[in-house]
Amino acid sequence: MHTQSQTYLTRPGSQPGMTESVRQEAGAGQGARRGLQAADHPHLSAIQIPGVWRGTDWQLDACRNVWPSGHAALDCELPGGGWPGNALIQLQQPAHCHAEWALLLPALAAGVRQHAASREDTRMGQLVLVAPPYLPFAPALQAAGIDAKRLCAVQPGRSAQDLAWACEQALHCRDVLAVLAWLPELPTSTLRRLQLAAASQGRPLWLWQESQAEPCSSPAALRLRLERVTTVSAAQQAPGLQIQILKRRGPLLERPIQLSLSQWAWQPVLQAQAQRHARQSEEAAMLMQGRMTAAAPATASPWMTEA
Amino acid sequence: MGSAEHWIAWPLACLSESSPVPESACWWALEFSPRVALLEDALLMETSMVQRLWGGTEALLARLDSAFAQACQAGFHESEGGDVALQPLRGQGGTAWKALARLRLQQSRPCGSVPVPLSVPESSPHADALPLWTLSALEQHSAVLQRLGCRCWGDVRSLPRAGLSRRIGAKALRALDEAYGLLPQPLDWLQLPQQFELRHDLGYPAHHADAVLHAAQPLLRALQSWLQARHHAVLALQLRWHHDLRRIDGQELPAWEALAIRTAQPTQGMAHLQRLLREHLGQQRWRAPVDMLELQALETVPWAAEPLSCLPAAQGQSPSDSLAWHEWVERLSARWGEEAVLMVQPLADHRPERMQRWQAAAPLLQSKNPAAARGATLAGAGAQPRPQGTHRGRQPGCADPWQALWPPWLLSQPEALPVQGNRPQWHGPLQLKAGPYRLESGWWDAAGDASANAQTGAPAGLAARDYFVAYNAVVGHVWIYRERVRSEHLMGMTASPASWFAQGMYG
Repeated sequence: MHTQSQTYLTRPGSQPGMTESVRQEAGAGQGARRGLQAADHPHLSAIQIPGVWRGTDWQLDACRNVWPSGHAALDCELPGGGWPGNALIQLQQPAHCHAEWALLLPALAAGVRQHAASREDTRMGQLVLVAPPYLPFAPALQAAGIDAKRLCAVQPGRSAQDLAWACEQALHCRDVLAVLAWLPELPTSTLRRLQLAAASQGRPLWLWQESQAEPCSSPAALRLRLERVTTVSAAQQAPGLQIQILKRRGPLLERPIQLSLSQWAWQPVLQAQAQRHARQSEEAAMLMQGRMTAAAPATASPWMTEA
Repeated sequence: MGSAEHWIAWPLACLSESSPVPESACWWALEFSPRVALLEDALLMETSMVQRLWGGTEALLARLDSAFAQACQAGFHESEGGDVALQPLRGQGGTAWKALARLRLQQSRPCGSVPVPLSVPESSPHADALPLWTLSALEQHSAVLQRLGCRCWGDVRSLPRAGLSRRIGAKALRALDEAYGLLPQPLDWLQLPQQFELRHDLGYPAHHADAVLHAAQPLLRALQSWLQARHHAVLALQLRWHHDLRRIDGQELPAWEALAIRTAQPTQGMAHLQRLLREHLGQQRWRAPVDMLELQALETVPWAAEPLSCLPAAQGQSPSDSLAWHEWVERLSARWGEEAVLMVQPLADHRPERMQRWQAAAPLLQSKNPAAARGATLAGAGAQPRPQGTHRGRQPGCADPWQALWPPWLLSQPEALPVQGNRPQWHGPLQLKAGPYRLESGWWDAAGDASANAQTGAPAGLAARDYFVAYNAVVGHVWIYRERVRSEHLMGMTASPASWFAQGMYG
């Protein structure tokens, strides 16, 4: 009795990296995986081959080069708990949707901060944008923590192969922190070159592409599809993003992830504005009903908005 | 001190036949010692002063051998220098003449056409045992001396000096004294030109970029050895080429055309410059064949070598296999033009389109380089500029609503939006979420050209706008503004031009 409870307690403890939600999900969804616990085969977990990973360990290896994404819901579904720092990450988004900075800004700002703390030289650690759809607004990014000196943009207007060459060269450049690229369809050989360059040089490459109708294979380590959530439900005030993980180094994820993107700096401004609008309309309604007294509104309105 | 001199001699023929630019063939030696001279058919170097610098005699000789082999092989890219690698061809000695004599002895041995003295088993025979023909001053009188029974230098020295001086002249005896180190030997040392400017007559017409680049190789190598000898590094160079043809297809052709190349970081290695040169030459139009090239170093600075780390380099971090930042920028700029790679400079203004300026990165890096270096030393000495930077960067969650509303994407030009039913449209009707935030700025720009732009109604500088955050399901959150109606439109009741513009995107 006593020993049984002890063994029961030690088994979940053998997976220190797993968060609560993941453990629930793993227990509920992938029952077949249970037989392959690392605790059952200690000799298997001792084998460490670079480039070879075990399917059950996809959340464990936190020691790798990982950029935490800053979105908690996304972090617990990404292998290692964040964007892989040494891989090609392919992201698809619909036309006219430009959620790049909303999604990546926390990770990039954290990466830049970490880099600046570890190194004194301010000229290192560049962020290269290859063929961005618009020019980034440097003061806004500076306010978010990315120094304007670190930004560099390669103008579009070349062929996709040329721009892919620029990406590869940037990945091979030792002063580059990360590369963001906006390229059209690329052949698989080029994608493989980019993935190899990213993996060998230990720099992440976020490749943004338009959504494709039919899924096709890609050598990228992580593939996501973004969609804008159009219907504003009652619980979710702000419209956000819906992220579907098409490919990851881990089990298949069927449910898409919902991101509210509520950490934007201007979200409080929006909320304040919405509250002000609501209050104004309430006051107008009351005015229309003629139930307003001269002394009431100053005390009544905060109560009304809270109710 | 003079007795401890150590001379090394190399055959000049190997060097000069490998290099098509003869005057630069011996510059490589000046990297090791300043005392380098040309004597008859050999290159001579005195190393007693620099042996400690290069880590002793053996280490210095090993480096010199490899440098000599490199200089000999430079002309031929095939595996030509097998014999050089097999046995280093050089002579050493206490004086210049001795080193030269031993070199000649060594040169004569493999071919065997010259009569070899009977007993010289060791590689460097004593000076007395050197044969007469190895000293050119004695070789002229070899017939006389051989009849006197002299075979080597020692025999000549043992003869009575006065009589010999009458026979063969004082000049030959002075050379012998110099060879034994009894008299100082005047030599004119090899000196580098103050400015690098080297011309290379091709001797064949070069019709396209690859041929010109190939022909420029010896010039680049000469530049490299010039830089290494002077301990300088190059920042800018100019390649000029000469056309023999004066006119082609009825068009006048300039005799000389030039190409200037700049780099942000001073360098001694030619790999990066050569790559830039290839990109630039590949974009030239070669209308006529080139028969002469001239390379000129426009700007050089004293060379400060990379500080080496005591720690082993991390994997993938070693500087040899990866590009430096300026190399990447310059490579792309060379291939696609400078406007292809942009970097941003923040400007102090309130109008969003004038808060930043994206400009070509390569000239920015090259112009900013001295200032950046100065800034680095400043930051190291007293941290005056740093706190300001951190203060500005330390406000991610800013309280100012105007700053909080800045979008991460900015359209290069504000895009006029159509209006339907009093609402701006951009892939569908837009819903205003926040605002208005009023901006009125730039009158100082408008004052000058207000009269010129009066009829268009949109002066270039003045911005009187109300900014909003708007949303629709297709484009997401966008940053739009409405041009405020100006008083003359109100008074004149004219139709105001488009008043809604999109300027930014949040995603």
